[in-house]
Amino acid sequence: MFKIQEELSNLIKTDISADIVLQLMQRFDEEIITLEDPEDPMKPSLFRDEFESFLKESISKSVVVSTDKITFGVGDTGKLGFERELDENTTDGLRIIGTIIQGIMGEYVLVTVDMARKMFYSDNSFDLGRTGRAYLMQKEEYNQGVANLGWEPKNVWRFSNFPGVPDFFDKFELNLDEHINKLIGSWNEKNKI
Amino acid sequence: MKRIKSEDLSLHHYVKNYILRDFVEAETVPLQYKPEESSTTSYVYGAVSSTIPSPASRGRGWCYLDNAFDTTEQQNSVIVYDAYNAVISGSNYIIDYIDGRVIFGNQSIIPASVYYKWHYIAVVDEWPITEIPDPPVVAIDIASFSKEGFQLGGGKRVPRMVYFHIFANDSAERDDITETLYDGVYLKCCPNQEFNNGTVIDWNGTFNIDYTYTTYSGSSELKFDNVVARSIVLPLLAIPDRDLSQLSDVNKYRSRVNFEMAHWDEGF
Repeated sequence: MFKIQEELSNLIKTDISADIVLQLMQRFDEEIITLEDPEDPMKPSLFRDEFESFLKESISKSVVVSTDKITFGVGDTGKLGFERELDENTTDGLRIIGTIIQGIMGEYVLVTVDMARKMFYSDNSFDLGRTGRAYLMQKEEYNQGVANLGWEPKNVWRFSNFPGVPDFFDKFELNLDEHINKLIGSWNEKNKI
Repeated sequence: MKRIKSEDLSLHHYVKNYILRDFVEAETVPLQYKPEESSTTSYVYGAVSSTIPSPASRGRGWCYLDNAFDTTEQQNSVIVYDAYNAVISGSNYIIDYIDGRVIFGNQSIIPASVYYKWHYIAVVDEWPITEIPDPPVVAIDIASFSKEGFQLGGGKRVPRMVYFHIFANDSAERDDITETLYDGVYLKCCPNQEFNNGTVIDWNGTFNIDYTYTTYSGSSELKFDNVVARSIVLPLLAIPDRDLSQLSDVNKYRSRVNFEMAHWDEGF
């Protein structure tokens, strides 16, 4: 009996995780990619596959099936900035998507950390201590920096002053009856009942 | 007025005047005559304040109620003095609570200074696209809604998702405001006001003397549920070891409080 329950639980985990990821990626396509700047070399659609892999891994790890309920979450939200401290083990792609989901007030320019350093600091001796290289600078600060160096100014980031998608991880419509019927069918098929 | 608008206003009123009632500051400053804003029937005096954030900035303003659920204009939150420090009776002037101005009908009395209480936290009802207020700021975002029928009988439950976006000056202030907002909605409800005769403050910033406190007939209060608070760090602004941002940044210390706001309507 325990083995049947465990196998059903695993099937539910797989099936529901895939459904959640599918719905999240649909929202990503409809509510984030449609807003991006096609000319932006760091546009979020470039990181679509990376974000999908992140969701798959993160959600499948967090789905818990017990006898009376199913719970799930996005375990690694610290990589997207949903915690007090940013999880250092993140990437530029996740940082960009995390910032878009959180929303940002004001006008910013997306630059690399090295560019920011060249603008305002001569000290390059210290280690960055992270993998991320992208960085947002306030428009006023950026304009001041490029004016000092005589650089051609870049455009303001398309997602500046964007209220974000605060319910990105909260809005699901899971049809559990459908999942369970599908799973019973798979189970019957697998066990030739 | 549409129901969603009145719910938005009811929540805004509750947050600004009740939940954040302890975040009120007071100061006494000189009043300066503003000839360019005056006419032969109104003499306008503006408060000269160097306080940051400005008491007259968007989402703040002077306190127009002495207590959160008063229905009459304040009596003790704004006091105007003449050059001899004598109190000038409130019957001689009206107050623009939004822009921090005192308006007299004639020049027989000359005011010199004003004492006022003001809202330290800017409460705005949308993401501020054009003018970014100085922090602390609370942006109230009422998002999606869906209506659910009762299992028995007529009527419906109307839930809406609400987000408080908090922008603070430092982490301690962020945590303080976040916890205050969380406690203000956790296991709580607020009146679902109808605003039949308009909101408490009129379009010109003065107190609306026609304002009446009425709630919707056949409808419940606004009940809050599923409250979640969390800090936010913006990944693209977070650079450890060295703070690259030279200017103050409104996004540095942020958090969010999410919850569901619902009321029940009787079936008619």
